[in-house]
Amino acid sequence: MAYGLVINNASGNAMYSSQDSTWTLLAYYTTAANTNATYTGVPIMSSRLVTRQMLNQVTGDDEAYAHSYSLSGSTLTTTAPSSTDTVQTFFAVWGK
Amino acid sequence: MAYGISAKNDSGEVIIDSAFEHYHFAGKAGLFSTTRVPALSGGTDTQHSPSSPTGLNGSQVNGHIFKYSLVARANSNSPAPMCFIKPSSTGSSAPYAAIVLVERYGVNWHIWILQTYGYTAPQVYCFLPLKEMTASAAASSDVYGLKTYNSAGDVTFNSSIRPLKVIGGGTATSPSLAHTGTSSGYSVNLSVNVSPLNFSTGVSGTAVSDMMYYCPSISHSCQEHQANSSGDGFQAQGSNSFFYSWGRGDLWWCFYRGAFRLSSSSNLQSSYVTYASGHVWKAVENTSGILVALAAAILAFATFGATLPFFAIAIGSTALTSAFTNTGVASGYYYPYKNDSRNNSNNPFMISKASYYD
Repeated sequence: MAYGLVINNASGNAMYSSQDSTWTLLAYYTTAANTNATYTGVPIMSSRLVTRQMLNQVTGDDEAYAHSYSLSGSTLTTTAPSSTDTVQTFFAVWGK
Repeated sequence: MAYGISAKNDSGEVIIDSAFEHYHFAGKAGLFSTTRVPALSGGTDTQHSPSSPTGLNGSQVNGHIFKYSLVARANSNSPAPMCFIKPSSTGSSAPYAAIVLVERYGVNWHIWILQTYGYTAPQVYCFLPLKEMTASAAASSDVYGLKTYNSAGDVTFNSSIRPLKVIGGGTATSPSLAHTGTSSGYSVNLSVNVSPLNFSTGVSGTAVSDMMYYCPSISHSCQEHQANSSGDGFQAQGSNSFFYSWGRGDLWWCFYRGAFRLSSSSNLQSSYVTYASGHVWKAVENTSGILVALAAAILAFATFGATLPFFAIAIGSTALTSAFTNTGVASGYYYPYKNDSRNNSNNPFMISKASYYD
């Protein structure tokens, strides 16, 4: 490869190669329940995905919304759909 | 940057940055409990039951909840672990499974996986930033490779601790409802019957049996079915004989969580698993007329708001608490809304290989 990095262990096996990872974790954030938050400085790649995970909530007798989000440039904006029933949400931004 | 290291890919995009705390393999989470939400059932009166069964359909079974623990060094500011499910089986007959709960438990993490009832528990491969791992998990005797530090002196990348490596991914959604079609009368089965949705994993050349996915369940759905019946009769007891009318209302419901399976190396399927289910009813008898009796019976279920207080009457707080005793699951009716779903769109997922970490 022209660019990148391959890291071997003592046995000569590649432990990391910049070529064989299709999606790279770029950033991660946690937004508190029932709040909105904006995060800046998110690295930019040509393709990005944002995974979401609800925290501390198994969903019982409330509506349990996960935060919605928008990713534009280096800014991730996370929004609580409900001011009372939105759960704490963990965001991970991936790029390739 | 003033110091540190930054590695870029062919496109000049940063893939390793010493200022960024990369996720590494923290170990497999340990299974410590298997449980289910108990089926809920109760009513105000057992008279005037229809001849057909009114309970929960036998094939309508709540899924298994597998509870895992990940030993870590968590605190209130810790980022959550990313946990990949290595399913016990794959293909078009495999169970659906997804993480439905991640919560900090002291310095450790608890992870709950909901899976279609009746299958072996999956394995859970967990990843954390190095400083969130136990000292033993973050240690390696391998002196080769690359280790980076941030300005605070924390190790942010260590090639010998097996950094998270993703081989595919995409964006899933969940079906808008878990159950399609209608039930008639008292023959009720709200089991998941929706056709799964299919999503490309972007993976080729890897055996599906080696694949694992990170796709936490954020979607959920709740559906119900109601049935009403009524009748009248004559009670003969001499001079105190009277005509009477009766009405009965029944409600069945299921609460589902979104879940996934690998149908092949190139395809992730999305559907639901039943998390909780129940049946409540109300029967009323009086001498005021059949319409009055029927209206009284079904009023409890007429609106979502009216239903919730009736649950408390029908099942009873003591019975509800008792039903959940020793289940390790929070008691509740699991009826947050009806005939709808939440969070069913835009659910990206990542794919990795278990053999990287075995």
